[in-house]
Order: sequence, then structure tokens, then C-alpha cells
Amino acid sequence: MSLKPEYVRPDFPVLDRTFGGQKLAYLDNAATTQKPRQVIEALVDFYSKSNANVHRGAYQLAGEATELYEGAREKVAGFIGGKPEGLVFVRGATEAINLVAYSLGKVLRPGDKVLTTMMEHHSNIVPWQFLEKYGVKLEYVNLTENGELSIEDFESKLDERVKLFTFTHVSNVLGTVNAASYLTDKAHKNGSLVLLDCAQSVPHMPVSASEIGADFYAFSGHKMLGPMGIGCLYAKPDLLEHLDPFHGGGDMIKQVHLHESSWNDVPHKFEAGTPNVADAVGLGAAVDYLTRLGMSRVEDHERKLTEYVLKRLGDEKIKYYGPSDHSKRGGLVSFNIEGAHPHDVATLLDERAIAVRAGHHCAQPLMEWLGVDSTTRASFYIYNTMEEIDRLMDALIGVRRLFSKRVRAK
Amino acid sequence: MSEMYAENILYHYQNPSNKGVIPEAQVKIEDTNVLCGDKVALYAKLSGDKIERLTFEGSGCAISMASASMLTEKAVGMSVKEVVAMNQKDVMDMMGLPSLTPMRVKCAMLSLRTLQKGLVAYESKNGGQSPPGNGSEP
Repeated sequence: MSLKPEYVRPDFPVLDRTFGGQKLAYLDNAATTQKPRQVIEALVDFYSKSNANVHRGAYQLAGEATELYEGAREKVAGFIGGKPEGLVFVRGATEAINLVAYSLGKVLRPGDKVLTTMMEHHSNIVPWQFLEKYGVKLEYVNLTENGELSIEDFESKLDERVKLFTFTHVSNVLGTVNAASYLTDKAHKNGSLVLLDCAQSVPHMPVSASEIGADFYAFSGHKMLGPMGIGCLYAKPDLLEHLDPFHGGGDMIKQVHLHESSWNDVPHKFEAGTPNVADAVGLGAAVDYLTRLGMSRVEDHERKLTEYVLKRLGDEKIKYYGPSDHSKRGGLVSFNIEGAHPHDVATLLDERAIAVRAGHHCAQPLMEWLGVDSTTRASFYIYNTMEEIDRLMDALIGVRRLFSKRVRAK
Repeated sequence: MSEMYAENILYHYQNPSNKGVIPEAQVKIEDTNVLCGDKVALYAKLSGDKIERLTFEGSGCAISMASASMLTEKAVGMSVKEVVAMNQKDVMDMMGLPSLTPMRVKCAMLSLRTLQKGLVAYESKNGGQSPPGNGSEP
């Protein structure tokens, strides 16, 4: 049975809000998703009943908090077909990538290459630029006209000096879904490690770490119904064993002496200081919620919305970016209306209580490649409806009318 | 459709006044609105303490571009001191806008802010007495 947004909407208190008397149409899910009651309650419950610092507390309350925290780790690892020892809680995908850049960066040598792509979020560009200072070379796989990765260019750039290939599973601007398994396999055959930025995939489609086989996965909790400030790095546990820790401090050590220390077991070696327990528990509740819905149904629902919006944009001859085949896309679309700046478009949509994002979407190199300063982006999730897309399209037609009108001097 | 996008704003957006560069301008300054990516460069030719000519170049949303265009008309003939003293209310009045969300205020204020920065820097370099203004947001 397909996912019915009208069944999930009552779980999301914020969706009841109105702006200027109109019901909120929240179409900025690639930036962050709304939170269901179940997640909000998990947070309130944790702080009302179970709050204590985790690990090493001898009292029952600390034991309970630890069980909840480690239970969340198991749930989230299980959600992507991984093992709890491989799941490191961090603040979000950005921190996960920075962790890998720091820890892996220590073993990279001048002349080694990190290969990434032209469709990355700044979070998968800037951390690697830090390594360029130490002589590591950063290269980018080009895109095809259609906004997909050029396999030809990928293969030509994948040489023996590439130690890491790091790429996004789903582009946050183009919507392109990259062939994660295929690309991972190619990179592995070349002897390169693989990092997959899953910030726009894990929330929206089934993702199985064991099927894809990448070495690192980065994703954020707040983009998948969870709280802000919690996210994950997932890696093969034996790989984590071999990496240096990121942050130093409490909980990540076994023994501390005056001039040397030994590290705790993974994943704790990468979690220095008091962790974000409540938000991890909240993310666990989000994973429960998504698991109940079923990720294939989530994917199907978003694909239907995407198919519809692409058709409507095409009919109206509004320029959108990325593949025109909806089956190659995740649930988002970036577009531009001629003569109307995206910020004006977003402001005018806001007057109709339609929330979209306008700007460079933290992907300036991609904007440059597209030849635009910015775009407007609508991105969907489980609670979005066809009616909301109709509202979006009505508003866009109004925007076009306003900006295509030649105004004469008074 | 919207009171923010009134005819005067759309007119200036589509037909900007004083677009271009003044090569001999004493004050040349550019800035961007990091939030939105609006870009503006302003060129002011001074005559004594008065603004004799003012032009701009840039790209961005209707609000930022219309405000730049309107400012290049309004500021001509004003003294440096007067321009440096302009504030958010003056810009809103100039554009005929009742109010803007805080995000969009930055778009509207970009040109004035940038021009003021340029004028203040010029004055301090040339020993002028214009105080760094009350042009900042209240």
C-alpha cells in the first residue's frame, strides 16, 4: 500500500501552522525536515525520566541513559544495514566528513589524491581543501549535460594516486541519484577508499551499507525527522580501528598518562566528551518512525511527487536542473524563472505560506557549473501532497506573470 | 500579487538607473550579501563634500537592485555627511516599502551600507571629518 500523507500529517504539529491565514506548505525538506510528535516526545521523555551522563555511572539512572543511548546506536546502525560498532554519533554529516578528513588526512602523503565531484555540497569540498595545504591533491569528476556524473571522466581521473573517492549519493541541488554501488566497486578495484555523503539519501530511500560496500557513510539526523545536532558517521569497524581519533577528551580513552594515552574501543574512540544523548535517542525514535512507514514507500511517495512536479514545470516551460527522468532523481527540484531572482521567488511563495529555499544551496562550484548565481529549490518528504505541488505551481505562475510584465515609468 | 513588489520596485529592477562604472570616481567599493549572494559595486564621484555622480554595477534580487538604482538617484547632490547619516527608515521610505522581513532588509540595505563604508573610508584617508554614521540598523 502506498504512503498516504494524510495519515502521517497529524503526527507533525508544525504542519498545523498558518501564515497570513494560509496553511504552511513546507517544501524545504532537503534543508531540514519537520519532527513528528514521537520524536518530540522521545526528547521530552528522556529529559523528564532518564537523563544522566552515559557510560561508567554506577547508579540505575545512568545505566538507563546508557542503554537508551546505545540502543539508539543499534537502531540507527541497523537502519542502514550496519553494525553498532561502526556507528559514530557526531553533530551531522558535516562533522562526519570533517572527522574522516582529519583522521584519514593524517595518513595521506603529498601527491596523494582525493577525488570528489562537481555536484558536492560545501561540506564535501571544504574539509578536503584543508588537506591541500599538506600537498594532497583535490580533483573533481565532471558532470554530463544532464547533471549526472560523467563515468568517462570518473574513470580517467581514478588513477593509482587516488586514495579516496568521496561523493554524494543524491545531489542536494540536481536531485541526481548516483550509482553508489557501481562507483564504489570501481573505486575499490582501483584500491581507493570510498566515502558516501548520504545526507540526501538515507532519509529518503532504502540505503544498505552492506549492499553498497562503501567505507564511510555520512548523514544527518535532522534531515530524517530527528533532532538537529545529531548525525552519524558509519564506517567498517576494522577501518575505524586503524584511524586516529578526531577529538581528544573523556570517554574516548582507555588509559591516560602524562604524555601518552591509549584509545577506547570503537566507536567510542571517536566520541570524546559527553555525547548528545537525548538527540541520539530522538534520532532512534525517528528511525523507528521511518521503519514503520517503510523506506521503499517513502521513496515511492517522493518519486510520485517528483514525477508530478517535473511534469508541471515542463508544461509551464520553467527551467529546472538535473535529469528529466524522475526515476533517476531524489525528491527535490531546483529551478529558475527567467527574469525573477530566486530570493524574490521565495519571498513571493512565502506570501502564500509556501516554504522553499533560494540561494546557492551550499554548492557554489555547482552553481558556477550551471552558470547561475542561485536557484529556487522545492524538496519533499513523507507529509507533502500533490495539492501542495499545485499550490507551488499556481504561485510560480503568478511570480512569472509579475516579473514578465514590463513596468513603465510613472 | 504583493505589496513588496510594487511597480516602482519592479520598474527600477527592470530599468535600473545609473548602471555602469565611473573610472575616475574617488570612491569605488563593492560588497556582497553573503546570505543571498547579492553583489553590488558603487562608484561615487565627489565634488567638494557633495556627491556629484553615483553609479552601480551588480546582480541580485529585485529588492537589492531596485534599492541600488534608487540610491544612485537619491544620493546625488547630497553631502557625504548626509549619506553617511542615512538609515534603514530612509531606505524604506525611498523604496516606498512599509516593512521587510529581517532577511530581506539585508538586501534592501546592501547598497547604502556599501556606499557608506566607501565614503567613510575615503573621508578617513583624506582627513575628512565625517563621523562613521548612524547608518547601521537600529
